[in-house]
Amino acid sequence: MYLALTGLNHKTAPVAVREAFSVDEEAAVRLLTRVKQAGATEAAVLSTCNRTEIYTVGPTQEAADRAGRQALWALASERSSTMADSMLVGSHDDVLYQHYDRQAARHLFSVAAGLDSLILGEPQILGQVRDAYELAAASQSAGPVVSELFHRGIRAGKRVRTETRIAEGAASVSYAAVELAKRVFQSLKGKRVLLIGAGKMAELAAKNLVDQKVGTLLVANRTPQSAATLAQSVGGEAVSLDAVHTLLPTVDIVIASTGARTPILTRETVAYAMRLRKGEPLFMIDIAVPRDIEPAVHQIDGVFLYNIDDLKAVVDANLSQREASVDAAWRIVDEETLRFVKWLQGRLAAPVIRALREKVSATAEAEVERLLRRLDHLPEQEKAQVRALAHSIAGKLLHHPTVRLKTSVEEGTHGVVFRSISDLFDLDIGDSSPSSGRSFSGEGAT
Amino acid sequence: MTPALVALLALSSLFFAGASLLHVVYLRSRRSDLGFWATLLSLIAWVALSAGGVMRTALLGQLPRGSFSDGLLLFIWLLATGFFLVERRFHLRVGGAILFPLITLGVVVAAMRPARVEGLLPILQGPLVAWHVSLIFLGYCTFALAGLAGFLYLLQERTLKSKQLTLLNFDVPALDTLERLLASLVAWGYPCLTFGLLLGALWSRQVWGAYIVPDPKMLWAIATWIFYTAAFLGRWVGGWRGRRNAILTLVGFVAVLVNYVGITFIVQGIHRF
Repeated sequence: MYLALTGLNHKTAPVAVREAFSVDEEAAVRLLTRVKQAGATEAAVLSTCNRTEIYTVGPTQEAADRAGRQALWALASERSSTMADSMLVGSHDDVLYQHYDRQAARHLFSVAAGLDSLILGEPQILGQVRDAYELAAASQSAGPVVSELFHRGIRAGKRVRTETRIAEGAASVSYAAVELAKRVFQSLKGKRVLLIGAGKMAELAAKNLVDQKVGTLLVANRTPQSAATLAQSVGGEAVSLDAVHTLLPTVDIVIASTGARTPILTRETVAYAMRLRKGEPLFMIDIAVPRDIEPAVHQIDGVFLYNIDDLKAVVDANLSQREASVDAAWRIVDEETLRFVKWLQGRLAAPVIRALREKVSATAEAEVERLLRRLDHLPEQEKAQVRALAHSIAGKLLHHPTVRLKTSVEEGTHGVVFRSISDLFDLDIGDSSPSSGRSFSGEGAT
Repeated sequence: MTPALVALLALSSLFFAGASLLHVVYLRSRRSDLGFWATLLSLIAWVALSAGGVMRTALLGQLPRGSFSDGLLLFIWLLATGFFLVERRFHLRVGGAILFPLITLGVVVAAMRPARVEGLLPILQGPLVAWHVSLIFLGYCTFALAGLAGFLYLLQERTLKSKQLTLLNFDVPALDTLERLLASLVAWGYPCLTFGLLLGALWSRQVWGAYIVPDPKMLWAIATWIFYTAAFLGRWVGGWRGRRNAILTLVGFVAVLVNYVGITFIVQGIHRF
């Protein structure tokens, strides 16, 4: 029983090729069926906008490998013909990568950890790995190996995110704004937000704030039309630009992004508003160039003003902090990989080891008993010594084969080793793969 | 101090030391599992400390208030209890990295300074003194926690103002939470201090015949009370918020420390602590 991975991602393939290979849920189910028809006993498909990967388990390395590769090829050529782009088909082999057993597991774990993502440690991928497993389970293609593999992967992803700082800190400007606001206000729930200007950036920041369940969203703009449009799209309320000064004392967060040539909010205006706010803090973001809020406003007690460069600096600092966690994240991935390999060893090698040990010790025991029946005059104590000797010889002889059986799984050479040993010792271990492609619907999905 | 009590204190300080270390590590790593162990260790330490307090009270038959070490233990116990009460609600676990090292030090000092007076002087008998000590200490420990909140507030505010956000990588609560915390702590502590001082004055009248006697500790306590009155009124009447409040609570706490530790050891007065 072998594990193989075939796939492509943003590092190996340009977006045009990734498109040809991208799969939605329905296509993934078809892929899974196709892979099983091609001889795989278990399979799972992981598809995001940056990668399509297929994990297959088969009785031989070749079978597992071929099943995944064929299915992907078939998918792409189907797509290419409908796209009338036959150029694509010829170039698949250099965009696809293959990994087996330990390396395949390590790859999945690093993907789940966000180490393979465009933005290091991004959170969505963990959910996508979980979805991939759930889909495989729902379409009866997740057997014991795929289940263990994905559960380990999800665990590795979670561990990396809690034990390292790889997922910490906002990785985008609009999220950085939310993160900063949350240092001023523990919860943004029910806070009043004023958007001045109705630009794209303002909209993005506003949407993030709405996700945080802010209370009221006021939108002021020079052209009332676009204020109304934005207000509608984010679930806010349009107000007149002239009302900004009177509204200022009543809001907690301000996001300014107008195209005005001169500042709309001066230090005096904000200082006056702060007096009316009775010391309640005010968080302001100015993403306009030229700026809408006088920089000196930041010096007022209780006011925190951040412009676009400040936000970018925060993001950069966060990203370099994420970079610094990469080594620690890989250590966790390697740890989990080792555990998976140990599990696989146990699962694959255990029946062979058991059969081998039973065979040898049964033989040794039978021979000793035969001898002892003839040496009946020996005292019991000496008989016991003879029995012990037979056991220890058998044990010593079995030591190396046992170790070899285990390491062969790690090396991926277990097919040959298992076959040789059962051949040499005339073992009856049946099918060397414990999973023989029956339905595995009972595996509890997380 | 009986050997059993010293053993309990040693145990408690050991666990407090462990909790301090874990809190600092937690602050660096932000691993929530470490945070859990940090809190667990500090709770065990608190249980040992409480057991010590119960033992000492049982031995004396009343609230221990005869020596500096008794007073210190009472203060530490109140401080730790107060911290546990506010920690979860105000996301204050990081505060443990500052508080628990100080508490550890306090327990060690208390354990190493054996109480010279095992019983109570006749002058210290009676419920009035017990309430006087308890209330003032309750006030002091809420002020200490308010000082901690004030310190964290200034740290967070400085970080946001300097825009060097990487300076502060650990979870300091948001400004509004810290503001709320320190305001409510002062609001609890202020009446405690006020009534504690009133009871002290009544006691002083019974013993020395005057409500106020020129004892350095008493005078400093009155000064502290005036300071907190100003801070209290400033907030509730004058609407002082934010930075100014945080600085006031920090200064107030320093005043309390000066009175409690400084005056005890430098100037001799009628107060043993």
